Amino acid sequence: MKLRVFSKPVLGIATELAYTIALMAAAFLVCLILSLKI
Amino acid sequence: MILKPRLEDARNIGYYLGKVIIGLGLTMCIPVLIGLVCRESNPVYDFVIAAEAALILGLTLKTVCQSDKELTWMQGMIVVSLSWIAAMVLGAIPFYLSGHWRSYLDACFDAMSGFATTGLVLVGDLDHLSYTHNFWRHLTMFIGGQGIVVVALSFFIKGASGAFKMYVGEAREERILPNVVHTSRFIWLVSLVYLVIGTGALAFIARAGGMRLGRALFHGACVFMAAFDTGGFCPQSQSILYYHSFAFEIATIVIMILGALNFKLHYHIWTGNRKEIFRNIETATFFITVLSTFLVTSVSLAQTGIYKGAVVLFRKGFYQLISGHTGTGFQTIHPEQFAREWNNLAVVGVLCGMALGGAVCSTTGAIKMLRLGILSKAMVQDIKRIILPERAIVVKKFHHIRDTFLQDSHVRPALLITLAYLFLYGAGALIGMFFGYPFLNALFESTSAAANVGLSCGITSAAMPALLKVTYIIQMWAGRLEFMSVFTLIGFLVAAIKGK
Repeated sequence: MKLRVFSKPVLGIATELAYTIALMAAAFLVCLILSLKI
Repeated sequence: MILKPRLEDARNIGYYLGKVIIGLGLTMCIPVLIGLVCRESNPVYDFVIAAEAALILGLTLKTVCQSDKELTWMQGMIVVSLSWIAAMVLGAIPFYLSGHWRSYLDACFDAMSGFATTGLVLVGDLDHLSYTHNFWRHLTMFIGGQGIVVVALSFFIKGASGAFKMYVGEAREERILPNVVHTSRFIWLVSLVYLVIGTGALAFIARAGGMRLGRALFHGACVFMAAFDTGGFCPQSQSILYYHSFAFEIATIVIMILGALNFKLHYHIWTGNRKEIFRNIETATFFITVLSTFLVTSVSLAQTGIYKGAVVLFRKGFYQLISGHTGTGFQTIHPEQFAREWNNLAVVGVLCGMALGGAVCSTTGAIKMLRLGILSKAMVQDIKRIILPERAIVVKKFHHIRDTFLQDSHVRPALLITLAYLFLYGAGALIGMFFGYPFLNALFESTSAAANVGLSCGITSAAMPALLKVTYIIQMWAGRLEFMSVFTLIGFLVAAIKGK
């Protein structure tokens, strides 16, 4: 029961981290493409 | 005809203002504790004096203006705008007493910059500032990021009547939970949970980089408070460049983005509605605008060829962009490099990011993603109306926690606030140009102040004209409160003079 109470915020934090990682990965991809062109 | 405010209005405003100032005085006890732990006696005296001044002023106002009346909307808005001025004046006392600021105006500038989570600094010899004062700089950001009134609502004004009116006045129109005090406490819960995780992560990276444990924890806590509250102060004058660590930069990027998310979104994601992050109009708009503005910046930086390789372009280009877009103001380049090394288009990319900001009900400033999303949808709706047959009914929806049909009542306030921000950016730029700064630099610095960002291209310094300092203080204040409570205060003062 206690585990279920904590699992929602923990998964929530993981989801938010996934969003930030996706944004950084997309930006890094832009950098990678531009650096290959240089 | 303008009605003159009644004595009852002033009493009610004074009473609640007194409560908020008492709350501020009590928060000054935290740096006193830090000073005692760090054995810094002179800084402790500075904070004892400042806390005493705040408590005496607050208690005097509360006693003289004793009131049991509920706040009206006008009174609530005025309490908020005056609270921020009081916080600046009182929060600047320990700064000024430290001797690191040239004048009281400079101390007020940094205090407003802290509370408004801007990050522009006038402090001298920051690298030798005491731990106590340095902690207070970052604590002002943590308090200001949550909202000075939110702090008072959470801890010091239990069950205050009219609390919602003050909460709204602090540019937080979204109520997360039915009770506004519970909403304020939830905002603190999110911040404190991330404070523990973020401080731990940053301290670990700093420790791994060779910093002593105590110092690593101090830097971790300070940088976290400045990053999550999208403030931008840093314990060292070199900002994030001081750490020379890619891992530290990645960690701060993550924290800055988390700080730029809506607290209401945090609530729904933390309570199980995880798909919301991918469907919400704000997160979608943020993703698009970050990548679009970064594309402009990175392509122009690639043209100049100053940053060779993907990693360097990411660490220099994307870092400044995301720092500006989230309204934080951390830098991994020197301010002068914006003006001397970067070409104009790259600077414009960061400038656009700064002007747009993060989510509503977050700690960021500027126009914000919800408004931008609504205005974009409204524009598409209007274009469809022109293209489609006249009899066609064009309906547009947007998703923010739930699906909502787009109406003029959504578009009008979004447009008004956007226009007000654009005016504020432009007005500050004109004053900057009056003092002889180039147009782009003046606009950059003005936008940075008004959008509560803190990135600097070199204009902000203790040597800049006093009028420009006052201009930036007003911009930071009005930008943080999103105008309405500031306009209400101006209206109140006009009514007090001209009213009948």
